[in-house]
Amino acid sequence: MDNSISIRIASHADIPSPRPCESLQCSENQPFKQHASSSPRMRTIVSLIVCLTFMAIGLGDNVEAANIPVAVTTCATCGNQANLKAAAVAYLQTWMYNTPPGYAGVISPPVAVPNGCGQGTDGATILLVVSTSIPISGTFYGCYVPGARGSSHVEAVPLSATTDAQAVSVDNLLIARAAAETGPIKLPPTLPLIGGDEIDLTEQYLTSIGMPLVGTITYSLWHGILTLNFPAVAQGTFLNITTGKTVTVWSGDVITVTDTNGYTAQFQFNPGAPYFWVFVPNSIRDPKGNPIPGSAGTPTTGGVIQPIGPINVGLPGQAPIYISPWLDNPTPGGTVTVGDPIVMPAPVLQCTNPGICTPG
Amino acid sequence: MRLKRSILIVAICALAAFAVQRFLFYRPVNPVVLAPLPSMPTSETPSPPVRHEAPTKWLAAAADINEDFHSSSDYFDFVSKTAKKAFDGDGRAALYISKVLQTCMVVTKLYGQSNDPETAFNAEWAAQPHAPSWLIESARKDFHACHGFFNGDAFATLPDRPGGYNSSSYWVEQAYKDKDPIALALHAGSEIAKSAFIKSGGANTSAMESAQLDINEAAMSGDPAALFRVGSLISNGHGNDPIQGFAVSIAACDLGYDCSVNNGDNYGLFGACVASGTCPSGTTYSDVITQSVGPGGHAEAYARAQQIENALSRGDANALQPFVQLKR
Repeated sequence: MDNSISIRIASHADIPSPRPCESLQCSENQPFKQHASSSPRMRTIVSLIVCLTFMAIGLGDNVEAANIPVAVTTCATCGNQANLKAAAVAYLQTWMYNTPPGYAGVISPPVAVPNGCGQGTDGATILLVVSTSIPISGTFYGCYVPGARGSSHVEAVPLSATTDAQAVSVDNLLIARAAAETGPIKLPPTLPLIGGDEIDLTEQYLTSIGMPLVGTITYSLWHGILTLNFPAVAQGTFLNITTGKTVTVWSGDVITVTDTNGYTAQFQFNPGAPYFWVFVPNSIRDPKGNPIPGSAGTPTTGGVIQPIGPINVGLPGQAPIYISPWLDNPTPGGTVTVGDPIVMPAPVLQCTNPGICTPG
Repeated sequence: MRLKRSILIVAICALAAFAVQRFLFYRPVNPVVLAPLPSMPTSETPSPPVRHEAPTKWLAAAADINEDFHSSSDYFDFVSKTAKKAFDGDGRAALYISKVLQTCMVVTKLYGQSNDPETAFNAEWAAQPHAPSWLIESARKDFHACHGFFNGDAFATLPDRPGGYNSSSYWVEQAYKDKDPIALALHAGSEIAKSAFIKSGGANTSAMESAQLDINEAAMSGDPAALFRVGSLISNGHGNDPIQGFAVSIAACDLGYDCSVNNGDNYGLFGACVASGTCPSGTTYSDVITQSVGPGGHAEAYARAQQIENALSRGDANALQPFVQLKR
């Protein structure tokens, strides 16, 4: 199974055109000085030419897409953020510069500063560690920490999530686990998931009784922008009458419901459909979590937009880059793909000498 | 001195160029630029807001059945009287029957098989300590409106059909076959929802193309309720820019769809306060739009809505197309 997320971002690192600081250094070059010593009118003309040249450089900088590969691994024993990090360290130490099973490419440290942790993640493989025991996950990248006598070892650096609460938050953002926040949703005895009537009765039950809308549907540009695929995304506040808890749910979020026989099924919030809660095909599981033949088995793939979250994979001081995975497989560890390219600003560079700039 | 001044000018220009560049290419965290659609006719000056007449002949009949449905306290009676009309090809009648059945089949399933449905209802809700009173009252209203379905056959006058007629999906399908505009929009919503689950890229494309055809037809009908549904669909991330769907919805409101909290069909928009009657007076969909995209975005959407209405009044499908085009 391909466990990679191909996160496409625009990176100026690949762009060969002059960087702003380099250009400033170049303004000290001889041709400019010769013009600068001429008449005031000539100086103005030259200044305008130079100015327009800079603008042409700036505006003509084609933002090209690069890929940030994301590896996904699961951890059966991870119960907190420290466990997630330990799993990440183990994974990265095993697979750095190698190709894990099912992963396309190699696991890489940051390109710009390969031997320094905390100096940027540009080019690094992002590792998503998902706990399969409780709903938390963490994101890390691997880098080398210098040791004694020239040695070094791989360290895992969290991209975010320094606490368990954060880990839960990251998990909810990355993985479709609205159920974790919503709590259990129970169906009445007359609506069994197996051997019952049309599933749309359950969809209607959830829409009107079990998980009704209690707040106005709104559309979030912010969320839509960050998902990168949607110009706006609908959200609604729903009441779980089983627990009394209200939760805000985004279009595409998935809840899990349980019938009185212990069977479970997933339903997705889709405000455009006849019912808010749309049955997710092949999602019925028996009380032990096993797929039901003919009803489950093959994970669904393709195009279920998930909640997203800011994950700073940029250089320190830069605006965060937002990862928006499309969950193809509700089972942790499944294949994840992404949508449109993310455009990010040019790196902030510090220049000490003409033409020599380093990430700041 | 002169050299320093020149360097200063150059530096300022460079900073300006850099700033312009960042402004143009820095997308992730800045507010979205509400640019017009690429294929949108830009030469057309938005007309002053006018109330256009919906161009379809069936709207009066549709309004009647809408009124009948919302004023009915006996859904069994409503369906009994409407079934023949729906069976004979009235798509809007079929659609309202499906709407009734969506509610009543669940109610029947939950309580209708009990020897004492009323007691079963009360016991069921007594066991729901987290259910708010408005939800219980709403359920009680549905319970009484659906009571006739527990033992009766609302479709007794229709020819026999394997499986009978107590299926919401059957009537939705009939409404769709009859090309009812709202049913077309609903079908588009189902296709879009389905596309999220489809494994094959080709099948996914097919579902989206099917949804697009439905949307085109629903929008061109000029039926305000259908147009509003189309706008809602597009607004949920399926447009080419953030306000495309809002513009369609505003056009629907202008054309006569009741976009306020007074419209019972807007429960799916305003939620519990519609059911409980506690929505702030005067709240409309415009408030939702303004809350989502701000006054500037609303103004932009409103301007586009005028173009949509003009396109509809001319019957100009080409002019309408950019406004209802799904993002691909």
